[in-house]
Amino acid sequence: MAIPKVLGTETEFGVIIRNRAHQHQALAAAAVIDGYPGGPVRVQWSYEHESPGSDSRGFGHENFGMPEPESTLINSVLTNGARLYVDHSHPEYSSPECVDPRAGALYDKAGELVMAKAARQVQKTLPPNQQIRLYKNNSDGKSSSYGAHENYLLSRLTPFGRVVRYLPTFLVSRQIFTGSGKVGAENYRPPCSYQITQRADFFEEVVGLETTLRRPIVNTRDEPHGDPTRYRRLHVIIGDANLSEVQIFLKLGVTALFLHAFEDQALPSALELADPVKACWQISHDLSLSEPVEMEGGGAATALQLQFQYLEWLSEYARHRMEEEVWQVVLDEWEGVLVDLERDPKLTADRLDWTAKLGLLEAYRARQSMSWSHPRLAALALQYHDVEPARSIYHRLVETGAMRRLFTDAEIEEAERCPPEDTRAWFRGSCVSRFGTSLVAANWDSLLFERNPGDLVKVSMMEPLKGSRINAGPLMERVSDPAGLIRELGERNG
Amino acid sequence: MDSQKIDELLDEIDSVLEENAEEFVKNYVQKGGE
Repeated sequence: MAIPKVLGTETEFGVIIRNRAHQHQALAAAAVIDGYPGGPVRVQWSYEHESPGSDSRGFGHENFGMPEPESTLINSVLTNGARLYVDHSHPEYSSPECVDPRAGALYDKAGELVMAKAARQVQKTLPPNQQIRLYKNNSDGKSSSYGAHENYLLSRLTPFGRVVRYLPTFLVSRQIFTGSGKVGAENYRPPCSYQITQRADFFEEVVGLETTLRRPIVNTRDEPHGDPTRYRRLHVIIGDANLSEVQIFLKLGVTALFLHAFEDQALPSALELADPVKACWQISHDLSLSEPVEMEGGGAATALQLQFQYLEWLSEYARHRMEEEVWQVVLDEWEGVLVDLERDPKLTADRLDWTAKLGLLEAYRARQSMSWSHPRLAALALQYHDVEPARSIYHRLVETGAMRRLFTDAEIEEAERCPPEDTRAWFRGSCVSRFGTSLVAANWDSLLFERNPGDLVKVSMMEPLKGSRINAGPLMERVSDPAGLIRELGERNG
Repeated sequence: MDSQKIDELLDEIDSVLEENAEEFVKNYVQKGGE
């Protein structure tokens, strides 16, 4: 029986200070993290239990070298249970763990608000001729890419070899509704005017541990952030950072549903591709969605055909196995987007970033008779992703009603402050809000309190679903200080 | 979206696009991440 797909996203944002003679990206990123005004206190992130070099294939650890001092400058946990930090010179927001994919999308959007607020604070410290800009995208257009990762909880019993067989075709074909769109090609891929995804050009392996070079379609990082005897964390690195609320929901919901069925061995076939890496590039570069990719053992299929096959299988699976209403919403949205993509991709411009942005670029280009290489088109494409609503082109579409929404601004503002209720993120975020001054450090699976000066007590959270509001709410209501909390937890544990 | 709305939207985009697009795009250089 599949376990609940606890999920979350990690987004690295592009950062630049305009008109600054000497760019120091890591310092700009650190200023963003330090500038975020949210919450009464800032709790330090703890690196205990972090092992990004651990490999799901059982190879042990690859040497990742010494940590860059600049990548560990600033690192904090927020009142909504998220992590905010500098990673490889980028400001990064890792959303709190959610079970419902709609909540997953909401907390991903909350990350944009966190970054926008942080940037406004940084702007106050800059000379008047300099302006900070943050972008929720994945490429600088000059062959440097930064990530938007998804995480899904898998059972440790799921053999990783099966993940490697089943996942590449799903991940490569889902690009038609996960892409954010990009002008041009990068990383020595064949030239093109525009392509579906920001990321496809950077994928060069089917499976591997790396995330910064020779990126693999299936990433093998084995860092469960929970009980390692029970869980795996599937680290999906092939997605784009999305602005569209519907699209983030679709990406998380469809992938979680796929993983449920996969874990229950309910997929009739692995649908293996002859060359997943080549197919990854082909699909991203094919705006007509009509070019078939070769299948293992002969034959060919388009990404749309593959996704319709998954839709059929997962609809059947969900009818019998998934009771919550949200999965039917996922299936309906998924079917709607596939049907519209098949009829005419432009029909999806109200919910997919790649078609929305393409429509704008084409209209802008036609009005001013521009070539695809015109810098104003590149500027428009980049500014689509600006986190500041006043400058964001995506927000212009939202304001005109051209882009469908799932959330109100008030819901996103609440998600910026308050944790999701259905996972341990609720306990983490609540402890930061209420007992933050006694919280020395926190990470995904533990909290470190200072009960008295020099007297540190660690609270483990190795079960992602324990610490939800239902589970830990009564305890949090009873206790009035960290000492009381630790006392009660100690009594509970033995 | 009808053509009048698109025209209005493109006008608005023109008004918010960063000045000196060429320099803006050229200078947007990032370190690889992840």
